[in-house]
Amino acid sequence: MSSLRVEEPSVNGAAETPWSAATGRELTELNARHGWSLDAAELAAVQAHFKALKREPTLAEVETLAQTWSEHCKHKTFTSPIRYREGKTVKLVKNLLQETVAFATQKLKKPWCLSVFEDNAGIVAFDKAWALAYKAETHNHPCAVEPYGGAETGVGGVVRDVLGAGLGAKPVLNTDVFCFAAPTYDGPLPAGTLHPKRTMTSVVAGVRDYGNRMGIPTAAGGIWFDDEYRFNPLVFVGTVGLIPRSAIAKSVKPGDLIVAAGGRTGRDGLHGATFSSAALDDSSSVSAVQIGHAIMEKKVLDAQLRARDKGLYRGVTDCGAGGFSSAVGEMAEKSGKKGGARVRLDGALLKTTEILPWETWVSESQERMVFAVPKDKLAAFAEVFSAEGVEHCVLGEFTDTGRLEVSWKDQKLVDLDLHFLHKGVPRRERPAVWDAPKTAPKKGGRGSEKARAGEALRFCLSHLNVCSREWIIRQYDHEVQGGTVVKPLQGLHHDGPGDACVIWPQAVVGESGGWRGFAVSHGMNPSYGKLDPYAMALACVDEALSNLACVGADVSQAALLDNFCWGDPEDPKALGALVRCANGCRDAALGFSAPFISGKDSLNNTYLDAKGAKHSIPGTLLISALAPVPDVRQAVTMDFKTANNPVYLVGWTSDETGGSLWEEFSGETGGAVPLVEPRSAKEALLAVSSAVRSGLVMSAHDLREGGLAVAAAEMAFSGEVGVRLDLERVPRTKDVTDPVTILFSESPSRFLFEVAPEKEKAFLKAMKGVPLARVGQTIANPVLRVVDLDSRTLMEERLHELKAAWQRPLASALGGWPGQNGNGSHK
Amino acid sequence: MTMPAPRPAVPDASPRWVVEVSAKPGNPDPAGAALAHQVAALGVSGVTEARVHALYELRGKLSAAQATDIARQLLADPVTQDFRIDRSGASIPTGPHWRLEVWLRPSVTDPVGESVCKAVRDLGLPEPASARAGTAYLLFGRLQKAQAEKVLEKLLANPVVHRSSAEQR
Repeated sequence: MSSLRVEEPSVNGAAETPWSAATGRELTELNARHGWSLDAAELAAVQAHFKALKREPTLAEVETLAQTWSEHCKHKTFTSPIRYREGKTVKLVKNLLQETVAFATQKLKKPWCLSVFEDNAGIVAFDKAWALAYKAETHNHPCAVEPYGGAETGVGGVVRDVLGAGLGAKPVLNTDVFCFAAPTYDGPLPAGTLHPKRTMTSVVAGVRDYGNRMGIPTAAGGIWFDDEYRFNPLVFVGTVGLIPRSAIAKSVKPGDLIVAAGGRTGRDGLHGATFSSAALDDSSSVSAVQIGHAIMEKKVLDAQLRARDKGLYRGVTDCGAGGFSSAVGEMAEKSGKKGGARVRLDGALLKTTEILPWETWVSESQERMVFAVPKDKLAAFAEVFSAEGVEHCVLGEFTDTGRLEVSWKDQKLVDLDLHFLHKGVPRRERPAVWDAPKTAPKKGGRGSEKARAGEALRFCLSHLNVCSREWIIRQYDHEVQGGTVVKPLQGLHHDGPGDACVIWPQAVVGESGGWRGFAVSHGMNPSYGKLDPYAMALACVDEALSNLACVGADVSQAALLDNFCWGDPEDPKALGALVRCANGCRDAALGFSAPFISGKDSLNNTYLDAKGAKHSIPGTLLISALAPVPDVRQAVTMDFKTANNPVYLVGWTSDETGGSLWEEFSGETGGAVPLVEPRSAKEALLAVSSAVRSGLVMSAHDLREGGLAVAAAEMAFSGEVGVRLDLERVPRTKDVTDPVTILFSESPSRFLFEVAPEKEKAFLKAMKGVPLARVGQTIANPVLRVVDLDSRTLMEERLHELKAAWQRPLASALGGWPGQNGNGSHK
Repeated sequence: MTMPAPRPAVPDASPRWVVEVSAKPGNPDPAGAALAHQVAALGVSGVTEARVHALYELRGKLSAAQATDIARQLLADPVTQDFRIDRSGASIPTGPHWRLEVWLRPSVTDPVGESVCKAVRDLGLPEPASARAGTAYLLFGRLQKAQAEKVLEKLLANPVVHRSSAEQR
């Protein structure tokens, strides 16, 4: 077998320096030139493997190994040993994923978890016949370079994950969560870095166009603004799909044909997972960034689901990072006892003739799926796909040889031992350390600040992390498929901030589904994470589950997804924070009895500036949660409905202002980070979830950034119903002695409810054992009136002014707020 | 289909038609209005009006009549839109303005272009060898070259995936 020669003289190192003779340094240089992103130990492992075989690796083989061993595909950091020191305790973590997130899932052993951490998406039961597949992914680097195309292909990729889960689920909901620098950012930016405003508008446009064109509602999400994301924006996209429970099991048998269907393969998207800033160079002939083709993916979806229901294939996976090399490599592992695949690339359908065989093998061209088709089903398979106008090609067959063999014409490109490919990546121990930051909760309370309470409230409402997202949400079609029961914008004028969306997937499950639906929500707070990633993880899970409970979902069947976006894992402090965050995820999952069903990590979100300084993003955890809503007719929104109803606050308020909006407003530091106490939080959560489902509350909202003040204001202005709050009645710990702390502390696991007077008794009975108090009532006067501990009025704010303060910031920053500078909104 | 041996990229020399589609006078151009707004928000003053035209490049052996057929039946809405067709890509005549053109780079997938080919086939018209979609942005008013280029760079084109040009007319 001869080594592949590459045309360009600058990258022919593989042919010139034989691997067996190369020094470590030469290998490192080779690695950098090709953008493989293999580290020294991995390069040495490849070298040793081929030395033992007494031959040189081909370029295609190294490419295959680089893709399969990439952080993106193998989660090396999460599965390699870590020596973790916290304070004076040192612990060896053998496999972070297995010991934290996955550990909780195994321990909880929920019978309704049908497929977890093994397929392209997590799958949980929906009803007797159907299951829900959910996956969330990030597409950060592509979005930094080309936000529109990056966001589009991000959505396309996660939709394909759900299509590639089991034998394929029908997507019924897209979710999107972003982290950007403020659109008003006016600090310096290096050449090649797009302004956050442009990144944001283009990412939104990409998510919008792909989701809308595929006919999938985009109805849940969020944004977090922090200027530390200016070099590395984060774009999380998720998809929920419905799958018949009978279509979850998949297999591959030796002799099955390897069939690729969908888009053709081109040079677009080479090294998508590993491309560097050199890709920005105009002279670069390879485009790592791509534009999505939503209509193509919609056709693939339609054809695939028909083929699934006719039983025309045994297994399927999507072409994501690594293209054919990863997709075929992954499926080959499942073929027979030893696994194996024999691929002839001559069969591939190509966009261009200007492509090398190894490029075809690793290209990440979009909208492609790979199927394992029994030979006798090929004709029927072909008929279904061509009826939808989707091309397909046969790439070879699965074997039981234990080898991945790839050829092009009479040339052998790859002959790799599958065991080495999937298990050969060397594990390297990394050091990690976490030291708790010093906290010094304010002594003596904040009573002296109470004159500024109104000002603080307006500050919180107009904060970029709280204010209205309507400018973005309205660009998405959140109604398509006709099942969006609780919408992202709620209230009298459909412009208030909903906790979670509720989907009634009747279009998919038909009459048999009755009124059963599901809800999806998110939890995120990187500000807490800067102080304590453990507390952040608990707070995120608490937030996501609270949101579900508020709309009427059954949280005893809530499933979680984790998405970690972190900085440099070689930095012990960053890695220590990651370990602590993962520990938080484990404890939250165990505490709330809510298993993780799938997850993803994106590490190395760093930027090296011209002076050589490394900028990292704040460690960021996104928790996505999914739970069934037994009867969508009982779903509840967050806006106050009518005047003269009792208002209840559930949960204790303590002095927890670390990382809060109050600290940002007042300049205080050292507050305690809100820390969830899972045992009592779970009790309250289950009671709330059951009370809402029993129709005992008229409106429900959880307390997050900005605490009680913001939650009450949001409920009031969304419903245009005033509210009076008596702070004296708020259940609180002893350290809370002043109105400011009561209003703005961000203690977790708290809810506000509006209860109809005639249901008050039943509500109290349902909530027995849970700390709560009647803290006020809704009033006809359209104001937020807060009565101080001394029974005097602390503040009385007009709802329309609060609402304007909340609605204006984002639209204004993007130039779309009516009346600003005499400009109208977009017509 | 077999894979031919790789060969270096050569400029595509096949015959070319450019179709430019614009809103008929008196019809609204919302994309143009939005652009004027964004240009002002960018801090570039002096633009009195912006228009956005769709561009299609059709390659292959097509006669003028065939290309016109494609434009009339597929690319332009006869009620609300005008179109003009030319070998070189001359635009619809209008007053003095800056013309900014943005096309996807040849290596980048062009879903709109692919859909045009498919639609031409579905209409039973002679199919072009390739179709690419682009956009022309026309900025009217007092504008310096540097300002026009700023609009192109900050709002309209990303060199990673686009090729673009700015020309005063």
